[in-house]
Amino acid sequence: MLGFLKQIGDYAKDSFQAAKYIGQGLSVTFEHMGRRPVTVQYPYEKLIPSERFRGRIHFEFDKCIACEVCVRVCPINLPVVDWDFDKATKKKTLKHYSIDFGVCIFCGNCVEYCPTNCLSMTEEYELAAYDRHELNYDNVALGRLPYKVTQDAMVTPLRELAYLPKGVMDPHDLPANTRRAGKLPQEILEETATPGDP
Amino acid sequence: MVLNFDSAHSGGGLLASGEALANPISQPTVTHDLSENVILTTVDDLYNWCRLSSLFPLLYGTACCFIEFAALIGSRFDFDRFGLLPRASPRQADLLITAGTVTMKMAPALVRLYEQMPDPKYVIAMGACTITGGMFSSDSPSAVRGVDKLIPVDVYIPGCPPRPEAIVDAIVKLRKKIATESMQDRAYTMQTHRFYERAHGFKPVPPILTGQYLQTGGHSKPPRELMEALGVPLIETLETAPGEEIV
Repeated sequence: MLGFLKQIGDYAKDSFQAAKYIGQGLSVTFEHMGRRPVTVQYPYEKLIPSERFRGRIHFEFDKCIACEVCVRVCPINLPVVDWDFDKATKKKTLKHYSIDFGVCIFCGNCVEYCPTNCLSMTEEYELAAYDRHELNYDNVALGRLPYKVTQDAMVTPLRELAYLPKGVMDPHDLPANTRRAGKLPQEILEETATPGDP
Repeated sequence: MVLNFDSAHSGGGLLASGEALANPISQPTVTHDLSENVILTTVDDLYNWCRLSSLFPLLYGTACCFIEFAALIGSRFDFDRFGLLPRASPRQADLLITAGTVTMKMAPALVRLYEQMPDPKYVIAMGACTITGGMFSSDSPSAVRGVDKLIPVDVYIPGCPPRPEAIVDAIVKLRKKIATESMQDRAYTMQTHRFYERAHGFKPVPPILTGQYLQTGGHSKPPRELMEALGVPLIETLETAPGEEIV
């Protein structure tokens, strides 16, 4: 008699536990149904590239002194600098400048070593082309500035993960003035600065 | 009586000026234009829309570019939004994204993968390595300088590696390209024999690394001069035979 009662009790306990575990699992599932997808809906929403993002190279023709340092520091000697020596002024005049982005590996050495800062990195990365030769940018194409994601009316800018507040993983619906996690670089500078420093 | 086509259209001869021939001999241009512009383009649009909204990419990755490409599979840069379903077999895929450096050794495999894909098929060259060879273009003995030397490429994505968004951008551009295609042009784009192939002229030779070299006498025993200099007693096998001369 006792054995039979024990069987009934075990069965009831088992069914209760099964229901509990199914409920636990489904509660996780239903909790996810209330969440917003983390997907960046790319053509309509774009991530703001971080401040040290190395995108397409921007070139200012008038600043360039044709010293060819960019060619020397480039791992593959990529930039093409076409200049003439002007005998009257004894200076080099730049005629053409081009970088082939089909070969460029965006290492940023040329930007770092340029003595007149005529090269700089932009945030542009949408460079896909139908023809390989369209990727060879001349000085006119290199001088164009890309649209900023934050100023494009067609695009919702989203912050990257490192620029979100602590514990937040979803960049959607974030108030505009929320601080990112951690200290800002200028705050670290202020803290470490000694009073005597200018 | 057969009317001369030119004379009928030049206005001279039988027809009065302004009068059109009821049933000319030449190709009926109006109906042809109609069928090309009104009916067939809509079929084209439907056909293209079906194709561009279910591009199945082949999971092909040989280097670091695939890390960025794999980010697309995840939920953050979800590429299933564009109907891209990653396939592990070339026979089910119609888009080949060459993510990563292609070496001379990988090149035949890549061409074979491309040939096994069913028509119509598209190729996106992703990253500097597959466009021109990238940083290997100057001095590498083995990198292929651009996959467009092996297979026809539709869209090129520069970058080393490109961002996942850049790949999505290239896919959008590829969809634009597919949307402009016409069924009437299929005869021109149909694949015939695009690749230069020939039987390789290598002569197979027996392997030279058999391990026998390590088992020769000089490798199992230390040199005699070294042993004598160190003052170590010689092993019995190294003792000179009675008639042998010490070199």
